[in-house]
Amino acid sequence: MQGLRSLAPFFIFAGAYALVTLLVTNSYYQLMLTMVLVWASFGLSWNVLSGYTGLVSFGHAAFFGIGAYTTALGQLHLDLSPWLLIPVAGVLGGLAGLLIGLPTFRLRGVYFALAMLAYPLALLYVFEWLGYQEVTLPMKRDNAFAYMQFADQRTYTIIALLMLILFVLMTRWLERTRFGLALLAIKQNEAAAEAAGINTLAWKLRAIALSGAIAGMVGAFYAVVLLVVTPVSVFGMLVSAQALTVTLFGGVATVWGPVIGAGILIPLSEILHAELGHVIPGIQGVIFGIAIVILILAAPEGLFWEVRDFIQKRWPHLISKPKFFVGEAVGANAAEVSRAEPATRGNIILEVRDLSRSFGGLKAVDRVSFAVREGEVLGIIGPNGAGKTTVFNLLNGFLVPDSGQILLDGKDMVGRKPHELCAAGVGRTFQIMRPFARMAVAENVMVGAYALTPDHAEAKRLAANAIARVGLLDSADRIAGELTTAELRLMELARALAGKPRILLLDETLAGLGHAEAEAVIGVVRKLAAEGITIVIIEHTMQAMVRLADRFVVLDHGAVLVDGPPQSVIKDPRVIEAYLGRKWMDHAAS
Amino acid sequence: MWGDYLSVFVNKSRTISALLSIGAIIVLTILMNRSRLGKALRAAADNPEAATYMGIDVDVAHRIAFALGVSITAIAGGLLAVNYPFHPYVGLEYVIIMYAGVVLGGLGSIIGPFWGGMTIGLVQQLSTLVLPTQLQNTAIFVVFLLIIFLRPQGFFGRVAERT
Repeated sequence: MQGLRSLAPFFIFAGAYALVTLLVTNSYYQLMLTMVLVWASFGLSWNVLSGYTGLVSFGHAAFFGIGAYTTALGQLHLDLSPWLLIPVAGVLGGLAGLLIGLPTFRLRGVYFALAMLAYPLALLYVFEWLGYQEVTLPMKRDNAFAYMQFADQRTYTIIALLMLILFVLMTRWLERTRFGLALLAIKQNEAAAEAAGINTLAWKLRAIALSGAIAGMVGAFYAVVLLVVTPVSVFGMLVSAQALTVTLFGGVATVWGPVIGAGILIPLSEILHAELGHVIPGIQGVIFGIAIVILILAAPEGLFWEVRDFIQKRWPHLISKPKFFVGEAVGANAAEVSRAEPATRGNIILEVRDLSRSFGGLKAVDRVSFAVREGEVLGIIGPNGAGKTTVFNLLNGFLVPDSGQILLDGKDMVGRKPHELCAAGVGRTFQIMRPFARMAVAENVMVGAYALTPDHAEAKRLAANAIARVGLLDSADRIAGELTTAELRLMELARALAGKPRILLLDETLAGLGHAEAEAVIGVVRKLAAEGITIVIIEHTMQAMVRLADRFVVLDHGAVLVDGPPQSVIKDPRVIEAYLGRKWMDHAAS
Repeated sequence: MWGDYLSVFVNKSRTISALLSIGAIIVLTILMNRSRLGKALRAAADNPEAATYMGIDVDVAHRIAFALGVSITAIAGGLLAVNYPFHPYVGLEYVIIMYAGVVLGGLGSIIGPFWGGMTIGLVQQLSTLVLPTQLQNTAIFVVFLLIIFLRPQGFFGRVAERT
């Protein structure tokens, strides 16, 4: 309901647009009205993949072109109607997305963007080689409706408007569900997203399939409107650039962005072309380019966000975000968070056997074995570079061991991806914190909750619960980027807790905290331990460790030095030697 | 050159262009590897924050790098114009091939793009032996994709991702 109400401005816009469309009879202006909607839809398609996941695609023309050629060739060779071919183009675009995404998502950042560039350009030459330099859609004057060849230009604009509404609704749906949250989490910190239980590859593939499908349909419609398809006009660089331009101009990662961008840029360039083109040929491109450059410099994230920030500063009451948690089970109770059953306490839940991992010639982890019992707090200590964090990275699947076994409830988990391990009950926090910096605390923790349940209400309840347990409920609506280090540590803890982990890996949770803050975090960890959550913690501060851990595993040079209860471990001469060096041993002993 | 049976036609203006390009590459390599400026630019690219602590004005470094890049491109354009027809939209075709060459060679490497460009040229020319001429550029992109998948950092690039 709330989603529909927030779309009210959009529907008003669509209504006004339809009205203008009906009033305009000049076919030149009518075509412009159609094209604004086509490029807005194409921008939305780009936004679904690149805006939300942050994986910039320079090659969206691939999907657009596939769609355009689907209608052109389908009508030419098979005599099919565009009414059928546009959905088919959507399916083909989606499939192309999967096909392209599967290998290309192995790449990150700039490499991804560059690889995407190659697809449409390769296709361009293939279609030229196939002899489709110029395909003209056959005229079907006698059966205009069935072949979408309306004499009245306005019909195209109305169809385009309906398509845009469909895509806006799809995008809005995406924004408000787990799907959108997963994509935003991937954009901000892919590793953390994966560790919080998001199957990043699967969500990215869904995003590119959806994006490809939209682009395919838009391309198909474009061919119907213009009746002529050439490889350069649908696979060319300028097509890919168009999607980027309208979205970057209007605003990235918002439904409004492409609509605003296309609504301003397309008429602007046409008007410049019409008004100035005959005076100084080409001047429209210069002015257009300068306008875009200025805007990008002034509003790097697009017009929408700039205006929104401005309004927020001036009239904050106009944009008031509702509180995220309203009446969700705030009274946290202990049994909620822990999956541990008292009856099974003391059973071995995680066992590591002969785990090894080298980086080049360095044996970072060398035949490490230890076991974690249900309900205990195991401290892993050791000097810098002893391989502690590497052990965690092996345990939660960031790294694959060279040899050895990781048994979770007796099942070997080696080779599983981080999100699978998270689903199996391994939650973790990071030494160098990995928040989703631009999302609210509540949303950060929601990401973790979705690891356990696909249901929105249930996830919200879990998240509220986890946040309450670390004592951050008052900050739930704040953006993670504004938090202090201590609050971030607690938020990461809540994010891991929300998925009800069976075993919680805490990597130097106290690092960088002042004394009072550290005490607060220690308090939370002790409370969790008292509730029976199994915890493995890496920490340098011995004072804190002695109070937290039931048992110590000491690592040195990647190997287990000692394994035992705190009191005996800290007196062990080998431990003192590893920490302080040989010459201090006598001092320590005395 | 070597008698009647083995003769190579060498176009004078192309030879001069090639030699000038090689000269530019050598000058650039020396500049980037040896000079204080080159070291500053590479430091700024490698780790902007650390470079700032070492007294490098990273903003200025970026501007100099951009100017340097653009000026080399202009040299290339000038040399090209001597041998090939050109028009206002000519840039795009070369930009794409250039891109492929740079990625192949390795972003951030000085000599990498040289070999990347050579590879692209070879692939382009040799592909005509097995493929129709129209697919020349498709061949480039296929090879480009293959190499990106096998070695995303390029021939000479280093793995930059740190955790």
